[in-house]
Amino acid sequence: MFRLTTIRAATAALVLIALAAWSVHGDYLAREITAEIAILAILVLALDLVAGFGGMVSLAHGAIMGVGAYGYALANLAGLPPWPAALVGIVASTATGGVIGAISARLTGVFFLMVTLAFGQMIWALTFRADALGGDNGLGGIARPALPFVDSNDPLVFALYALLMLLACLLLCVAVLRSPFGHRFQAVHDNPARAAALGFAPERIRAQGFAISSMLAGVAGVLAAQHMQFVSPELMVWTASGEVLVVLILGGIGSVTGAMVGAAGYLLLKHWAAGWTDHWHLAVGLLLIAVVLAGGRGLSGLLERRRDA
Amino acid sequence: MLELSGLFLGFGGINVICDLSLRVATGERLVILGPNGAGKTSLLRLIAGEVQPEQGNIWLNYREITGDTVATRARAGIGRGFQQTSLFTGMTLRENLGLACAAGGRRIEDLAAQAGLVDLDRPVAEVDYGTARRLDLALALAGNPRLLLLDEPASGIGPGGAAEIHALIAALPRDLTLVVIEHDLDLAFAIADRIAIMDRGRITFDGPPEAARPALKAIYDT
Repeated sequence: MFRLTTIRAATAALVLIALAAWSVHGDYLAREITAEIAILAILVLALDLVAGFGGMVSLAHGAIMGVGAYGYALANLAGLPPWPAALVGIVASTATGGVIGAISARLTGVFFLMVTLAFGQMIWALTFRADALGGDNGLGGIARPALPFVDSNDPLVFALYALLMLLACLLLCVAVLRSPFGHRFQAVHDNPARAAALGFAPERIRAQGFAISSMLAGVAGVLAAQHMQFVSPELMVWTASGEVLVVLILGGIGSVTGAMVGAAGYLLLKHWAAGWTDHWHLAVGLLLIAVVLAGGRGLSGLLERRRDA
Repeated sequence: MLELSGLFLGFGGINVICDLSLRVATGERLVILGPNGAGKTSLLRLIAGEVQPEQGNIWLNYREITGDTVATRARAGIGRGFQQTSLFTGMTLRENLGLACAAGGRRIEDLAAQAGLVDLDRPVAEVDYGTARRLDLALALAGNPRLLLLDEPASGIGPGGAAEIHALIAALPRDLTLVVIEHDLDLAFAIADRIAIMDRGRITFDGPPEAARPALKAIYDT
């Protein structure tokens, strides 16, 4: 059962404040990386909700995020203002995740993983081949949202806006996990036989959880489209989903704050190591091995264990 | 209340339930006895909906529930206690009860008092087995069931703990229908209105407790 411990709340606050401070005092690159971290953290948070608390390790989340990004892009390019277009993107992701969840929720383990991989690949292939979606070239000219008193095209403003969205998603995720639905969702993962004997329908609850997670992935997709002002099928390729899973394991699965710690650690390491060598994956791989060998609770788990000791 | 008709169930070519028919009246307390491998737990799993029969039908209150899921049957009034405690181990006692009460509409404190549970904020992973057994029973009772299925509710705990579980079961409302699998003959005779003896997937005896003694003697003396 998820518990918002002091160390978790403090970790989340610290990461958010540190990133905000880095954006304010840093250069253009710092602001772009901060926005990138916030978007990745939201997507990892979405995966943590289903994988960490529902036992549903998905390889479709990159594609679901892409549906949100394309939904936003298409609606915006069709003339819809950014905020209603964002709603279109989020609804598209939620609906896509709802369908995937409804079909695959009865599966577990590697079978669930494979079915979500298949769905992700189908979505990617459809997008890649669809001329109306720009095919391999993607879609450009996407607008950022109008914000009161500030210009969202300013990298600092967008970085802070992305961090605010991350905070909102974090609070939403915590609220869901602490709600009666969240308790049922975690119970179904903990002991599906007992949950069913209490009258809970495990498959329906898992499917609903997957749809909520997809909604968060949709927010990440909309933000990604707004950030790059461009969308392409590359967002949906299955390795993008694999990368999200790696970041979740790095940060700490089933902790909520692990998403932020993992996204920040992963992207900072990636950008730092990429300045030294083209083989930055090596550094990420070594860190992943170290984290897994250290107990598999991720970077946030190491922080919690240090405090408990 | 509960009617089973011509049930067959097999695993890997072996019939574990063979042409089994049974009726349990409202408020009746049926205890099922029999040697290991007789098919007692499989019978409970069929009634709860955890496995589907290859043939036969199950009715609850004159409504056929043969194809219903576990959750649907639970909502229809079937409560289930497991042979090995089936709890939400990542949660506290209170959280376990809270989930069950949310499903069944009872108050946590009332249910805890009925099951003799105290210190509800302890993690389930840290409680002794007797407490875990009482919690398992409490979860089965949370939905205000009309039919309660208990599979060796006092197994694995010492005589003192078993006596507490026995007292709990004896104190259940008389209008609650019970189907209990039990190896402890003292408990079986203490609570049973009727005893059924199973062997190799069939009911070999079905009648009042006193009449069951000769059949039981034949099983337990061999």
